[in-house]
Amino acid sequence: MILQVTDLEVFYGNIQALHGISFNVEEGETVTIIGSNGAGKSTTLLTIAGLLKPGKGEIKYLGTSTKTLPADRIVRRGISLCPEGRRIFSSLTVYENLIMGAVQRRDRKKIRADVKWVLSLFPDLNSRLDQAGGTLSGGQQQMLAIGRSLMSRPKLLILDEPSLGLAPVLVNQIFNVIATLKNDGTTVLLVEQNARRALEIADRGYVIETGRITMEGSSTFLKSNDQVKSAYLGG
Amino acid sequence: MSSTAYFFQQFINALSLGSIYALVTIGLAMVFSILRLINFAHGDLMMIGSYAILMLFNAGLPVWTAILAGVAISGITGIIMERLCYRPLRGSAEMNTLLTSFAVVVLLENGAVLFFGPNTQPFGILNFIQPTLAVGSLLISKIDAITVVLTLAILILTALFIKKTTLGISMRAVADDLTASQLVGIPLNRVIVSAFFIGSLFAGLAGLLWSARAGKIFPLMGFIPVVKAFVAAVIGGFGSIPGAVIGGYVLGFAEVFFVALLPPDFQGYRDAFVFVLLIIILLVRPQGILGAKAMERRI
Repeated sequence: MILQVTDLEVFYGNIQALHGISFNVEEGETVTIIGSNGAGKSTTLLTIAGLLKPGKGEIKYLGTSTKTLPADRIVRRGISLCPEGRRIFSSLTVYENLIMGAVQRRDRKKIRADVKWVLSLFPDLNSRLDQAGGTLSGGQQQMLAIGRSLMSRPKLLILDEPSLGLAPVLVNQIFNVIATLKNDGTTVLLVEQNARRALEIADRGYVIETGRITMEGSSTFLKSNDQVKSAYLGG
Repeated sequence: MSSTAYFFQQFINALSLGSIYALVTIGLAMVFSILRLINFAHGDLMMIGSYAILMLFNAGLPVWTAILAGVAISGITGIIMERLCYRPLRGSAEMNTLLTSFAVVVLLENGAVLFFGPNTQPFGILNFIQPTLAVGSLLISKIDAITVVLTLAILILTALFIKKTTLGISMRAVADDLTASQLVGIPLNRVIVSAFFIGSLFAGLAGLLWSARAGKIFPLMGFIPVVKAFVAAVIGGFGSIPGAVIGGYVLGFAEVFFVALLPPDFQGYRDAFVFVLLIIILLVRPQGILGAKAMERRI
């Protein structure tokens, strides 16, 4: 098991956002967490990434606890979160953004090779390496954000709403890349509002509502479940 | 003296003063861009550096060793300041850290009064350098010339550092987006400590040059330069490092030529002029010369 989250509780001040969440991700799997706005998806991911500290519960990555580690150490261990809203470095060039994704690494040659690899996944970025990230379109920024996350060569890639606000053709492109990564054996934890697309690509899924996991199962099971259908798949 | 020669000397004088302002302002801007903290205690690092240099020199160290060690002490003081005063407040409201910086000012300045005494002390350790350099018929203050050349070298190195090195790019990344920079694995503490260290080294050096210009040091000597650096930062666009440099030089030139071009009766209003300039800039172009993008980004 690459990631095991047990009874996770997270608070914002006095407000409890997560009420004991448990889930796990096996190596090589693609797992999705679906849920509506404010259900606690991003909170869960930010806690795994070390930006939020859990009140209670345990996060185990490859068998060891990461819940007290600072964010940069968690990246070094092999978890990379591509945050909601892209959050690329807008005044840095595309190339610098990618280099920052590899800031924990020291293998310069491999880093250069990985820049090429990321550019092969997102050819749109190729001609824009020296352009400031902030001048890219929304779709290109999302590609850059995913590319930047890949630059740490994560064992576990976490994507938070990668298709949010993108035109359908770009959504396809992003999901194609996720499919490629999945086929290459990358473990992916995917949070999406676009539950249909998420369940198409994922092996398993969890449904989260107001800070609790309310349902879990294989994607096939969730897709055919009536409750999931009416709440997240538009009936 | 011909008016051309007079103008030229004032020009060098302005370049020199602007260089010092630029050095001080870079430190202020680096820390601000990363932490949104206006560290008013930055000026006191100039004071600490100058006192350290003087004490080490008086203790018998060779002058250049004393200078290197004093500047290093200023840098280390900056690191200690971050660790003790600002890190515990990381993530709290900007107002809290700003007020903390005032507290640090009071602490350091009164500490200095306690340790070094309230009196002004002569600062002549660079007096061995010949006062003037003759270039044709022109006489240039040698300290001014050294200040300008040294600062330009440092500015070029700083620009390369920020543009090319991983740590420099990391600083820009943290300034851009604190959350994202943690998510990609930038070691935040290392970046913040580096910003404090570099800024404090520059402050120590600026302190030396400032004190050599003034020929004296006193415990509250950091107050005027840090407020001037604040004005320079506003002129250039707060948080922007190129802006800090431009603001420093603009302020240096404005100040020197205000004095040089107006009748002698007005010379006493030099500082008043600087702060009127601040008010005008805040009214007309609050984002400063290079700050337009930065302001948008922050909102």
